[in-house]
Amino acid sequence: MTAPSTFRTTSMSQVAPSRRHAWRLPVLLALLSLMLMRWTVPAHLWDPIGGPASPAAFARLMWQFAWLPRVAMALIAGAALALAGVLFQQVLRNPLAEPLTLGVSAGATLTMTIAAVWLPTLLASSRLGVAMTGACAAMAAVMALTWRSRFASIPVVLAGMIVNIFCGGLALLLALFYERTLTAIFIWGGGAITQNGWHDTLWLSGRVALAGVAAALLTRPLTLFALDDGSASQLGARVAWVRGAAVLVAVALSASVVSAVGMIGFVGLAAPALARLGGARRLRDQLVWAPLTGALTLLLTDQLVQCLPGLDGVGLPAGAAAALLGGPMVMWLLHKHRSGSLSGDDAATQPAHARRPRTMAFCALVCGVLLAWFALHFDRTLDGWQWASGADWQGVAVWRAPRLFASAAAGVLLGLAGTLLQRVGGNAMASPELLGVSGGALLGVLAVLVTVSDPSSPLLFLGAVAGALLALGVLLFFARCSHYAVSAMLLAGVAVSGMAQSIVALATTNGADYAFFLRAVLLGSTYLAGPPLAIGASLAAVAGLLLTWLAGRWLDVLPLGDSVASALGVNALRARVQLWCLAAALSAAATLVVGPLSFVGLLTPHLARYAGFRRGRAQALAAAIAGGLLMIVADWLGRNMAFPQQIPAGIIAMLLGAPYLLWCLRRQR
Amino acid sequence: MSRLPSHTRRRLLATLAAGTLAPGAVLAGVRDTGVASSVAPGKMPRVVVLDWGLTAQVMSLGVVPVGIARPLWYRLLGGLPALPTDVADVGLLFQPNFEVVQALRPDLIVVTPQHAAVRDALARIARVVVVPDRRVDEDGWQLIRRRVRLLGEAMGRIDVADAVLVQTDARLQAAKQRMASLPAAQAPIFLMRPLDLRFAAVYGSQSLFGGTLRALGLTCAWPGRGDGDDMAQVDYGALGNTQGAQALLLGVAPSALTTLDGSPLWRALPFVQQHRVRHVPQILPSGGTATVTRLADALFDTFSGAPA
Repeated sequence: MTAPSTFRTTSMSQVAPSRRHAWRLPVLLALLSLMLMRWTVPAHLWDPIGGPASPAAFARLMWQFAWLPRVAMALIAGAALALAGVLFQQVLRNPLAEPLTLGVSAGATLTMTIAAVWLPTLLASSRLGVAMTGACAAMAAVMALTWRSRFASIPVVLAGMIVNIFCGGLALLLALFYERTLTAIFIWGGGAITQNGWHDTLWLSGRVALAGVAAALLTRPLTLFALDDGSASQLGARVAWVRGAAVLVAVALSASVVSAVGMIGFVGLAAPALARLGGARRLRDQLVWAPLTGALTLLLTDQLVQCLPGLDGVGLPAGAAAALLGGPMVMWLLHKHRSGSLSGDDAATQPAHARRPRTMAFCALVCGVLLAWFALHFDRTLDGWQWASGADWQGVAVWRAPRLFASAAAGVLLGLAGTLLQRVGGNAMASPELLGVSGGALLGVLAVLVTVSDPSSPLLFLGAVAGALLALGVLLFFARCSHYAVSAMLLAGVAVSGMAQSIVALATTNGADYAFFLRAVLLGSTYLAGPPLAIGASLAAVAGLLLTWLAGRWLDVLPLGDSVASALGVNALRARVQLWCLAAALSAAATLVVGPLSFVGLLTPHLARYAGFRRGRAQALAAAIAGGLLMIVADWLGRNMAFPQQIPAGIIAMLLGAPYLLWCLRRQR
Repeated sequence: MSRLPSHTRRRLLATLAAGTLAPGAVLAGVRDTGVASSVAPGKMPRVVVLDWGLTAQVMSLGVVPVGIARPLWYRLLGGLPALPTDVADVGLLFQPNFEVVQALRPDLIVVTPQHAAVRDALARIARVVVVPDRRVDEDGWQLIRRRVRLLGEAMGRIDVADAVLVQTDARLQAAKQRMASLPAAQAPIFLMRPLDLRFAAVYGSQSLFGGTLRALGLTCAWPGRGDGDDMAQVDYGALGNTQGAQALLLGVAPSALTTLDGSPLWRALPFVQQHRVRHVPQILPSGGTATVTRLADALFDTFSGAPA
């Protein structure tokens, strides 16, 4: 038997050149790096030493303690990430698996941030240990959540990205409150390879060497993973044991790298893919060429970053620069590789029967009104908890009412959008947050902040709309390419969100004031809602409700399949595209109010189904009410939990929603 | 908006003109001479400030704000004059709690240009004063001069503002003359705050610290290409190429310095090898005239005392 190709993507192996040419790309990367080194080596390095205090003497020391360890670190870290990527991708049979998409980096960032705030001495003494703990915990969470779906491509990446966004959101929240303590963490989070001696490099190289030996020992059993589990066991491989060992090695590798140099995205994704493209199709070849490619890719990125001028007095971190390339890379790979999808029909979430749905809907509505009335009147003030009445109430209503209405409207919008996406896509994991529309809106705001020195609120909102529309365009393009397959669109969306996150990390490494402001904007702007925004959001919610009501028949027919739909006289494709557009517009409007991080759109359709609302219109209405209620509660909690500091409503909704979401994912098979 | 009664103003000016008092003492003088009690309630402007540096400046002009954003950080960052404990917390720096601000019934809300997103909402509560940003051609000290006059005008205390400027100039002039006789002070100075083992925040020649050094006749070693306040985050290697420079560490704990001494790159830096590292206490980098005089004093103390 000849060694099987690693992936059954015939297109890739047909296009790729043979193994003999695998050396070409590494040599090219090495030559480019060498060229750039002309500018990055310390000045005066080659001058004769004039004395202990001469520039040349200092240049030698710089070379010895900063430049060389930095080059070594870039090589080692790049190789380690690529090796981890190959291992993950082989045992999970998933070309998208790598430390960043698996949530490892975000976990490490979160524990580092927590340590910097509450245990600064621990952080100073054992930075690597702290990061390692978080990385391992995040990875363990992703593994536990996707155990039952046997680590299928898309559930793993989705769980990883959700863990990623969740940890990222928590870290952002801490950043809001402890901004000044965390400057060093922000730099680390951006993935800076700068070194100050050989300590970290030696620490990492020892671990990478050990992992390399382990990977070499695992090569033979791992090769069998190109087959499915059944065939592999028949050939004598102990599948579970080998997979466990390989994942352990890969997690240890990625956690070590994250601990040493911070978040470096997508090298683990790009290097194995590039090696395969270069002709390394057998696992044994990949284990040689991918680390080499990864090492040289990161070296080149780092040399390039050193040649570029910094932004506002802050050098560009290599990790963030690498991550910028990552989003497009995921999309491109997605284009090439179409395997593994989320099961659309989720028997467990289908309830037996609805019990008095109308009564329940009516009760929920009454509850909502009571809740809103309560939230408007009962709040913390400078004098403690108070029930506002009379003149007091008129004073505070100006602030509370617009926020309340804007939040509730955003909840309604997200509930509707989520229902539309889940029903049209026939997929329980579809939601505006995961489709990248929210991420696009975020990028729009960022673009305005960076380009305009003194942005006004309307301009910021315009930026968000433009970004959302752009993301929608990209999404629809991918949708067309994949014939509106939901899993492909979800991944494209996740890639947009991930890219937004790394760009934000890049923009906030800077300790400048606008970075603090930016972090606040990311978390949603219910806080800033004035009467115009509240009225606008409410109108959008009403329009959304009406349009969804009109589309009620489509919502019932489309989940039955295209052929049934055609038989019933519905042009399935046209209906689908129109509903996608409606959902995207609803999500864009909601993102402007609550930011990109809430999971309301994913959560509320599920709640509606649990409560027994199975028909399209009923589910949409129930999800909308649930979304509104959830956001009212989140906004009230945000105003009062840490008074007078205000926690953005979007992030509270996310903290409430994410655990439920991960639980849903766990039940997917 | 109010003006001080003329007799109080004369006493205040007399206090200021004494010239040897620290800004904290000036403030104490203002409060002790009974301005607060002699002015009818409501005459002292009720000010809310959403920036720590501006808080320090407003306090230096003799007005205690009724509320500021995150007072805890003003104290942790070494803000001077000291903030009384009864100043209300109005929430996050860029997300103040509008209800709290409104409940404080301010006459005036002082913000930076970075608060553009909340400016409209704040304008519904009270008059908003936006201080100017630094122009490319000026340093932090020149910016502060403009800001002091603007704040003085806005709070109806232009004469106090002028007096504070005159007094600060006088003190800088005196300090400059004393500093000229100290040989240790003449080498270019890196004013920096280590962030971790790899990076430090360095203040450039256009920052408030840099402007103060210039006014004192000293040289700032970092040329200045930083952010709006001209602060840059650099790795330590970037600090080694200025010949004969010395380093002044702002508010570094001795334990952190021990950790730093474990780094080979840090030990390789010329100013570390030649034992030209000194310490000054934590000073708020954007704290206006109080920062200027505090830095001048701290510099004189460290250069005239035993080398660190």
